[in-house]
This record gives sequence, C-alpha cells and structure tokens, in this order.
Amino acid sequence: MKKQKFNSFYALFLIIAVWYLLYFTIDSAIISSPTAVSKVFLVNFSSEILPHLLMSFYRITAAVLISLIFGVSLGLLTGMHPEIDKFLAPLIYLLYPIPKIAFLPVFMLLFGLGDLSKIILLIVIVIFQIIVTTRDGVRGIDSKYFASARSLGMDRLDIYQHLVLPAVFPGILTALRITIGTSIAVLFFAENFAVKYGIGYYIMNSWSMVNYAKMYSGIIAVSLLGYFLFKGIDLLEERFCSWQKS
Amino acid sequence: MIEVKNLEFAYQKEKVLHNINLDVKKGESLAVIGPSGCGKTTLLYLLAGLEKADRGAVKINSQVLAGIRDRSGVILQDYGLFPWKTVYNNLALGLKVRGAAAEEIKTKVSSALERLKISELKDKYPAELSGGQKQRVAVGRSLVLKPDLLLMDEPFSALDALTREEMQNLILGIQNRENFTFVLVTHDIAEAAFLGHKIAVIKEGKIVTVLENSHYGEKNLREKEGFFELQKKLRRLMSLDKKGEINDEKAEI
Ligand SMILES: Nc1ncnc2c1ncn2[C@@H]1O[C@H](COP(=O)(O)OP(=O)(O)OP(=O)(O)O)[C@@H](O)[C@H]1O
Ligand SMILES: [Mg+2]
Repeated sequence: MKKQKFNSFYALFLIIAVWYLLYFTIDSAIISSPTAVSKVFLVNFSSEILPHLLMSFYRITAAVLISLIFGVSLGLLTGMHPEIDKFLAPLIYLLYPIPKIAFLPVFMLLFGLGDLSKIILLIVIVIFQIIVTTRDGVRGIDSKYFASARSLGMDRLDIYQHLVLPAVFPGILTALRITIGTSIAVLFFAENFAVKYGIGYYIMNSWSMVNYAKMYSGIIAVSLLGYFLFKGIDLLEERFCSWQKS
Repeated sequence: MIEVKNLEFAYQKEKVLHNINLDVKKGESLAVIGPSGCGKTTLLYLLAGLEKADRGAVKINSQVLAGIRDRSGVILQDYGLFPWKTVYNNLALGLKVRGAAAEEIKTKVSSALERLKISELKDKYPAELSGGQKQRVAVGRSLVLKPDLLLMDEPFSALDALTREEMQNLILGIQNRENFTFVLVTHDIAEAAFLGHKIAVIKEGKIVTVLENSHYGEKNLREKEGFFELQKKLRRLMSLDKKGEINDEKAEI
C-alpha cells in the first residue's frame, strides 16, 4: 500500500516537472504555469469543475455498467455455445471496426440531444471489446475444469457462477482498462455537442474563451477521472482476482 | 458395486475402449494400470458418468449409470481444483451446490481439513500449494461428499516417492475406516500392487487380464516378498506384445 502511494506521487512529480520544463522553455501563453493552473483548479474545483466532472463520470459509468451487463451476457452465450457464435461472430466482426463516433449525429437525431445519445455512443464502442474478451475467455477455459465441475455435481447455473464467471473476470477487467481510455477520449469529443455539462464541454468552452488556466484545470480533472476509474478497477482486481497473483 | 459389461467407447471416430468387462465388489478396490494413452482416463470418465458409452453399460449398485452420481467422488488427473477458490472453498463447493446448510458445510470441511492435516492451508489458493498439498486438497474435496465410490486418475503420479507412499497409506487408512469402494488409475506398477484388491492391466483399450491381489492390505506390504512377485508379474504382463512374446529385453538393448 505504502509503495503504491509512493508510485502515484512519483508520477505526479514527474508530470509536473516536465510541465515546468515546457513552461520555461516554450515562451507562449498556451502553456500556462503549473502554479497558476493549480490555483485556478483548487479555487474552482468544487464550484465549477466538480459538477462537470460528475456529469462525465455518470455518463461513463452508466455506459460501462450497461455494456458490462449486455456484453458479458453475449460473451458468455457465444463462448459457451459455438452454434450461437456461428451466427453472432460475423455480425460482431462486421460491426466492431466501424468508427462509431461518426454516428454521433445519427444517435443525437434518434435518441435526443441529451445524455442518452452520448451514453449510447459510449456503449456501442465499449461493448464489442467486452463481448469478444468474454467469449475468448470462456473458450480458453481448460476442459478439465468443466469435467471437474460436473464431477462435483454442479448444474448449469453453478457452472456459470463458480467456474465460468470467475475464470473470465480478470480478462473482463483488462478489457475495461483498455476501453476506459477510449471512452474518456470519445466522451470528450461527444461532450462538445449540445451539452452544457461535462468535462469535455468545460475544457473546450474554456479554450474558446481563451482561459487557458481553466482549460488546463479541466484537463487535470480528466486525468483524475481516469485515475480514479483505473484505481477502482485495481480494487476490484485485488478483491476478486488475488488468486492470480501467486 | 461396479459392473461393466461389453463397454465400447470412441472419441469421434477413434475407438478408444474395446469390449471392457469389469466387476468390483463393495468395499473392494480396483487398480487400473496401463501405458500412456491406453484409455485409462477415458475408462474412469465412463465410470464417473462424465462420458457416455457407445455400447455396453456401466452399472453401479445394480443401476445403469446414466450421468453423474451424487455419491461418486472423482479425483481427476491434474486434480481440477479451481484456481480462484481457496482451499476451504474448493472443499466446500460440492456441499454448497448440493444445498447444504452453512453450519454443516463448516463442520464437514473443517473435519476433512484436519484429517488431511491441511487446516493451516485453508485460506491459500491452489497456485500457492505444493504438489502434495494440492493432492490432499483434491482428496479432501471428494471425501467431504462422503462417497461410497471414489474414482482416482493417477492421483499420486506427480509426487516424489516418499510423499507418494505417504499418500497411498493415507488413502488406505481412510478407506479402512469409511469402507468405500475405489478405482485407481495409475501407470505405476508398485502403486497398483499396493492399492489394488484387483488389478486390471489395459493395453490399447483392451483389458489384458485382471489379477487378484491376495496380499492386499497386509501390514508392511512394501517389504514383503509377495509384493515384489506381484510387481514382477505385472511388469511381464505389461510388456507382452500382441503375439504374447516378451519384448522387454529387446527394448532395453
Ligand atoms: N477429448 C478427446 N478427444 C479425442 N481423443 C481423445 C480425447 N481424450 C483422449 N483421447 C484419445 O484417447 C486415447 C486414450 O486417452 P486417455 O486419456 O484415456 O489415455 P490414458 O491411458 O489416460 O493416458 P495417460 O496415462 O497419458 O493419462 C488417446 O489415444 C487419446 O489421444
Ligand atoms: Mg490419463
């Protein structure tokens, strides 16, 4: 635990050091001073930044949770039943590579300008990764565990609960880590359309008002958002996947 | 207890077991010995109800086996312990899926842990255990279910000689007390001679012979002349080729 704290501080220190270096070497208003930005960040955090941040946090967690529910279900289904996979796999392979972000206008037309269209955009980006990871995870389970489970008298439901889910869980967490990076980037983009709240909006709005200190404060907030989401996943891993460490 | 009649089995097209006939009485033990790939594991899967015969039948307690039996304990070739469950939870799992009450699970698992001398390992995960410890957990996982039939697939082959003998003694001790029937698959001649009332020699999916082991259960069996005689006999039987000639010497040159 102590070591982890140290690692986080070291990362923060390094980033600030590089930032200072850039600030001193590049003589332009576009690189604000870290001290000035920190001040703006602290002063505005609870009044201005936090509401935007919470809005973005809500959109991401809603999208991730919904993707998990449907993505894991579909992944388990296709992983356990090759005959279903035969029908779904081509569909998944065709839809997965489509740049969904290009469909934001379509989603906004169909699902309104508000939260729903943004959340759906995130879902269609995140869910494929989860489906494919879960399916491949199920396929990768050694058949000896299924024999072992059946020999203990486990029925279908028991097998999902005690064998399949725990076996694919670490893979799902990895998929989540990967998709969270993408989600934040996509959300940043999506929040520039027809919203008044969201950290993406806050950053771009500050930028268009030439308030660089606020823009950087927003960027710091995004970084923190990602940091806490990743930490959350780490906690889940510590709690449920400690069997992997040894 | 176990009656096997004209059993045939194939994976897809590859026929693995040919016309297997076996008879094991209640409280008896059967050791199945044969070279790698001869179909030992497959036979055990059929006895456990994990695979279904193409022809013939397995009867247990005069009932045709149609699937998994509640009172058959199975120890698979590499144990099949769930890596994501602690030792305690691995032992508890069979009881849990049978709907046992939490109190009952606790008493039964704790007493099994104690008997196998692995109480202090109960919060560890399988990956943190030595081979011998994993072995004990696998035995415990079957024993908590109070089986009347225990099916074991090379349970001790990954252990060093001394630990292996210790485990063999342990199984024999528990069997003495609980009086279950057991089938042990092995490729180790000494193990078959030590743990089998009856010893079935299998080759290429066929039973070559079934020997009666008159010394079974004797004290200090490992030091006795008869034990070595039996092993010699088994070795000869295993190295006979199809024409009935011994090819042991030829192979050694
Ligand atoms: N799931 C399977 N699908 C197809 N063929 C299989 C399968 N399992 C085993 N076989 C084949 O059946 C034959 C018997 O295998 P089995 O596992 O029963 O041998 P074994 O006597 O237990 O060997 P070992 O001592 O190495 O464990 C082998 O030729 C093997 O290739
Ligand atoms: Mg085998």
